[in-house]
Amino acid sequence: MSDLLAAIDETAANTILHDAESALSLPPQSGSGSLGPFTAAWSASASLTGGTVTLSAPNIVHFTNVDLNYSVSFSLSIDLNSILPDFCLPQICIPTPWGDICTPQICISWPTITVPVSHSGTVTFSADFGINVHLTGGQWFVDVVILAIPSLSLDAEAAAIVAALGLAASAAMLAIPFIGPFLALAVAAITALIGIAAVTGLLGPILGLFLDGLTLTIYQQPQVFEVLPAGGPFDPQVNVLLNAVTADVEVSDKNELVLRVDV
Amino acid sequence: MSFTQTHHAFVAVDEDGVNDFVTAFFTARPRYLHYGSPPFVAATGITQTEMGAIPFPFIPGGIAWRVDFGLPQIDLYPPNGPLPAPLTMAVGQFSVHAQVRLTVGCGTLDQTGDKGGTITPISTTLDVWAVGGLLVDNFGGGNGNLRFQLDELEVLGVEPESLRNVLDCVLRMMLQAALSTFTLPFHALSAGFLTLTIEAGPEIDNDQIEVWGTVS
Repeated sequence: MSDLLAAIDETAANTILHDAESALSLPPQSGSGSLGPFTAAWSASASLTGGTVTLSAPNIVHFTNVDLNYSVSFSLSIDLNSILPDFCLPQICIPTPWGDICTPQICISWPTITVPVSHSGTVTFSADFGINVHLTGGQWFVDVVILAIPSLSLDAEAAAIVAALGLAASAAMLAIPFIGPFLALAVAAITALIGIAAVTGLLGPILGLFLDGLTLTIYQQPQVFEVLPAGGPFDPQVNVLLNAVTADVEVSDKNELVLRVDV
Repeated sequence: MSFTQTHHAFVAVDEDGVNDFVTAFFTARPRYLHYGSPPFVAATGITQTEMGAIPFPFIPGGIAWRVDFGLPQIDLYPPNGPLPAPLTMAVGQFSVHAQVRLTVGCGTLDQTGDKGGTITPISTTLDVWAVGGLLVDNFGGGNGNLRFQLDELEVLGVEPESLRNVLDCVLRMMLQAALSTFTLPFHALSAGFLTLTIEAGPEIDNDQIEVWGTVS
């Protein structure tokens, strides 16, 4: 028999796991990747909310319908020469008594534009988590750790990002001289070249970075555990040493997460 | 049967755990086991608590005394062995066993006043057993303490009965006072895992303190 035993059912486990969600700080990510024929630099942040916890043997914490709230910013560099036709002002000659006066042919070289796009969205996922108890740096931890990255349904999110890319590209090209007749063509070309599949192909791995090894800490206490704080010059702090901690899911008439501690 | 039963959270501390907490407390703050008056205890510190001497007419400075409790050992129901009669333990109760050393300064008075008297310490060590129950200080929001309240105490090996009755009463008051300094905070029951709003308990059964509630 352990010195201390604490058990929670699935109702309480929901409270504990949602507290752990609130306390979780997912580090921001950044990198670069391909969006169709273009290269995009990106940065992203994410947080978790919601979800429903159920418990089952052997030591599985099921977390369903969790919201992964994310914000991602892309910055695409697009060489318009690669998508727009060459545009030249033709030579114009004006006959005069002294002979024709002709303007030179002027060809426009389309610039390379930078298209910044930011998008925030929510993707809902479900995943199974295992239980990991460890003593690290003088602290006991009970973590629930995702067992596998779930597949994410990103088509709707990708479509929204493609639309945002189109708007951002349009705004970026408005200031380019002579672009007017080609604006709609350029936007259509850019969105077509990128496409939903390319956005999904980049967004999935980005969000996967937040889910890979996702860990929620449901217990963290110093191994030297404070029972009572110091109460004055003659009453020092009272501590006990937590020698061992275990945690598992136990199934009886209810499914419970059980923590055992030896003092 | 689940631990939580009809509740959402359950916490139990077995008697080894309780005694670990007791040991930690009185090891960190031994002054709550050791009391006395000068010259046995010159000043209050971490290790002992200074009290006044017992005043008595024509005894200069009063009667010097000292009380030293050994580390109390707590046994939660059911009992691990027989208790000294007439003590019995029921569900919801604990027993506590401790040794206590009583010391008095036995003075010789110089009635002529030519020279001062001398004080010789005289001690006896007694075995005491007691039974009692838990008290709860619930401050709300998952905060509170458990305390140990003695109901009855027996001193072993003392005759006649009238002297034993006197010692039973005095030592019950003293041991209760010493134990009243020991509190077990709610957060320690689960080693900080839960902020527990108590709905049922604490109960003492199965050699452990059991509490049910919800997580807040």
